[in-house]
Amino acid sequence: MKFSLNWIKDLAPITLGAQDVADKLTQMGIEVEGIHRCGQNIKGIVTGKIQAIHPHPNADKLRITEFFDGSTTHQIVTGAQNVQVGDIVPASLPGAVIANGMSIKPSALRGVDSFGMLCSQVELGIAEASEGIWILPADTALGLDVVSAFELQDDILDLAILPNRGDCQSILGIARELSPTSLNLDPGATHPTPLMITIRLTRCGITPAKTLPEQIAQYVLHELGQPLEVTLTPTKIQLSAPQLDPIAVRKSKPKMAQESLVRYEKGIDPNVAPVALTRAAALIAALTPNQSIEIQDSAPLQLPEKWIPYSADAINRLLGLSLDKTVIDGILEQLGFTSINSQAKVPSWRYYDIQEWPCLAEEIARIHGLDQIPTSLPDNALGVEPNTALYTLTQKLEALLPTLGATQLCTLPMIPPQHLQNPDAALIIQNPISAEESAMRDSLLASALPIVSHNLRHGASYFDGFEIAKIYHKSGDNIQEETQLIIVTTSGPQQAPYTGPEIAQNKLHFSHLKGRVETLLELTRSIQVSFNKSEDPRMHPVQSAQILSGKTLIGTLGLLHPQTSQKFDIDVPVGVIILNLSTIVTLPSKGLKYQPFSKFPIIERDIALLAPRDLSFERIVQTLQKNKPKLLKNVQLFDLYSDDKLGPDKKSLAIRLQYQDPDTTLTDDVINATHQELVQKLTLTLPVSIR
Amino acid sequence: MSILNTLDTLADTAPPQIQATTTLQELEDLRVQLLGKKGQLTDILKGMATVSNEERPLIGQKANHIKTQLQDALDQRKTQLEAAAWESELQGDQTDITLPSRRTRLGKRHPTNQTLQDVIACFTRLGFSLKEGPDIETDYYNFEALNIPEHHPARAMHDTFYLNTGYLTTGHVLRTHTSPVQIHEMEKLEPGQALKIIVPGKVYRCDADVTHSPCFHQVEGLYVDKNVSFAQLKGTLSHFLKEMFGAKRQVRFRPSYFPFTEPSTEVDVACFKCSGKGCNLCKQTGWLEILGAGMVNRNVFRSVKLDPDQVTGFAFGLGIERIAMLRYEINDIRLFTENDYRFLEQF
Ligand SMILES: [Zn+2]
Repeated sequence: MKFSLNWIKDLAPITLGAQDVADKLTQMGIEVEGIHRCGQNIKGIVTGKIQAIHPHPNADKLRITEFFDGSTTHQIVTGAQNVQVGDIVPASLPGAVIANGMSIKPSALRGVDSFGMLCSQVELGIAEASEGIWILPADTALGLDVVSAFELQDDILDLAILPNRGDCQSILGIARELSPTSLNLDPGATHPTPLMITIRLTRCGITPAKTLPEQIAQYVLHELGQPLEVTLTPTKIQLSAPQLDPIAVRKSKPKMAQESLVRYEKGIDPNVAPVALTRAAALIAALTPNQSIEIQDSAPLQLPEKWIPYSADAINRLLGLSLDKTVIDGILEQLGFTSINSQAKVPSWRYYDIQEWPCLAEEIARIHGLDQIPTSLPDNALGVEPNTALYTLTQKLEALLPTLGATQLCTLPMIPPQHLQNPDAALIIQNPISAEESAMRDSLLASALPIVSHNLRHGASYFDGFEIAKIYHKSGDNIQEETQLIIVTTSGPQQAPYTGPEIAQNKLHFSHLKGRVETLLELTRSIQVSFNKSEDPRMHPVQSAQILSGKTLIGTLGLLHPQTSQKFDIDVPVGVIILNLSTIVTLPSKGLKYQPFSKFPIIERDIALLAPRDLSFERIVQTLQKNKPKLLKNVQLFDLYSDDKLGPDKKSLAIRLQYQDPDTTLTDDVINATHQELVQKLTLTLPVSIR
Repeated sequence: MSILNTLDTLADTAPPQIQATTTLQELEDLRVQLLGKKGQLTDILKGMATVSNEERPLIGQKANHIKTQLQDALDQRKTQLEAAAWESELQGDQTDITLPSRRTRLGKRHPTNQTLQDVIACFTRLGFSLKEGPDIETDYYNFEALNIPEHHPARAMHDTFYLNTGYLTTGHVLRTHTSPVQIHEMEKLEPGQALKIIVPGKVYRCDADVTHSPCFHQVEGLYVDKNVSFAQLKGTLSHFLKEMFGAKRQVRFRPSYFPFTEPSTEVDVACFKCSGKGCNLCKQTGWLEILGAGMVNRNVFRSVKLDPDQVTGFAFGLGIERIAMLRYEINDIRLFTENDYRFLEQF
């Protein structure tokens, strides 16, 4: 809302400049969004009459006017089409400066001399746009110095009025904030001319209405904050000042001018209506002398007196101050409260906003100055509770993942509905900004894949990103929000900057993704997981798996099905890991316990196996471990291949077995016997042979 | 020649011989030749039988002296030859130290998250515990319990997304602030129990341009106890702002309005770019608005069945993207959710 400083000064004896006023208002809780200094350097504008208009010999769009300023006639060329002979207009003569700082000099326009410029409201700094030269009322004197006569120099304060301060939505309210105890409210004291009314309204961002009485109503509304209704009949002007209950207005949103509605909604001083009527009637009487005015009474709001009990001690404790009660009462009285026996009567203009004693504490803080309140720290210095387990796990993962090469993403949780996994359980936004952001995601993949696609299309040679965020869906009668981790990557674990004798290019493979899952789950050591074939249709039919802890599904990993990637315009293999962190933190934790380790040497033996291609490595390991659980310490795969020589359905595995006895050094004899027995068991149990 | 003379000759001739060796093997051979059991020194001392009793100690002394001298020279040469041997072996591993490195690629933390973590870290050090709450709220938690009844003018400040939840009947909204978590956590409080929490989370407003995103991050703080004061709020926030933006940075508390706090304040810090002189970052004011705060409104305590005469509290909230934008001079909020590598890799 915009406020003219000149106008404020009509009501309050203020000598401060605009910047000081702005600083003072800021400290009192009224945010200043801008100060517009109007007509700071403007000078040399005079009024005059257009005595003649001649066509321009060289330009159809220009005209030559004779501008008479009461003593001299000046030839002025203008491009404006709205000027007619007899009009009184403002003009800047040579030596003048207009609102944008430009100096006016004699010049020639297409070969015709021009000694000045006819002015619109824009050149005078009144409006930001205009439709032509400003035609002044016919009774305007000639040769007037427009700068002083029309108040061209003013400072406009653009203020953000908070919802609780309905009383500040008027010149009066701001004047009262700045000078609470010496307001000039005599309606006859200042009489703006009709021109000043339009100038001030325009400057305050209000488009003047068509008739003067309506303009006066607009003026009084901005000045005092009370909307007035004006009815023009052939014989008289009817005026009324309706009083409305703010809550009723907020509920019914009646049709009326926006300027009136915002004031009714925040509440209007119930005592201001008669003042506004008197003021408007006086202005109309002065400016339209031959009209009769009829003031119509509208039902006044019957509001009981509002008394707020308070104690200086409670206010001091809430603020951390130790003000004397007389200081507190003094501030309240200065603001218009009446304080008797620790009860404060609320002034009519603060009727709707002051509710309880902390409102009074707020006034004390505001006026005494927030910078006068000391600083201290909470009495309760320690944390009351630990952080949540989910946050602790999230923090660990967010710290670890970048060291594995993944970059953190932060995506919007809203997605296009066609990317929902399960539309029946989805949550749809009723008033979305666009259809593209109208459903709450039920999978992080829908948010992440467009990011992969965007980056690959914009020149990224690889993508490796992660995000920990929520998914949303209905579940029975509840809304479920689950926190998940997603990793999307198009590269193997390391991208070599150049190939060389020791570096083989790493192609993205299921094993890399599985490795990452295992690395991440080391952060939650107590969880044992297994990998099962995945049934997710979005994933690669073979290179993907579910991650289970016992029977609980905690995630998915693998390559994306190329058809899924294609939906997002991605034409390279994409690896995905999703871990449901909300589920993981609910799994029972055994806690870490130290296990004594064997101090005796580890002995290694290798075996080379020929096996059917579909025999899983897990079965080989399980068979080995089942037979020698005490001595077999570890089973490592160190070579795996298949080729035509082995046969189409065969593979070769080289496996290293590590033996260790917890209690003694193993002799060669014992190891050899154990190893042989184990190999034999293996070939008997599984369809494998030793190579 | 006397034995003494022979010893002198050895002391003169042996050191150049030692210095002349070029391999460790040569040096070892020379050591045996000079000091070995059948070496020159032993040879010379065989003549001791023929010398007088007076001369004998002199010769012994001199022989020991020469032996030590030669041993030192041998050791010294050995060190030299060993170093030379390593040097010639390692010179074989020639490499161009200006070649591109082979390194583990480090991923980056998202700038929003980095800022969020910095904020959280400061408050957890001040003893605030981390809590989280749902993004999808009912009207009651997002507005009513926070003293924003229906038709309250403050609702106009929240451009709210409403959810179509199908068969679920209660009206749901995407939370417009993290403040509903205040209500959830205070509802769990036993009388007399204190609460000191920090709540990060996503919030939603149906508003989008270069400085507004439909979804952004806030951090909410709440301290509820007996005798909590505005002075403690000022102390806590001043500490945070100085830690976040530098101990010398000026901080300003301005009165403001929020329905769920009273008194309310908005807190500014002196502009990072112009330090208060006025520039385009601070819109010529010299100040940057960082957070909103205040003393918990008594109606909020009533809505969670706490007696406002028994407890007081302060609450504050700040927007993370806004701080990240100011901190890194990012001029378009959409960069945060676009997740372009060319943007992310700068952090
Ligand atoms: Zn600045």
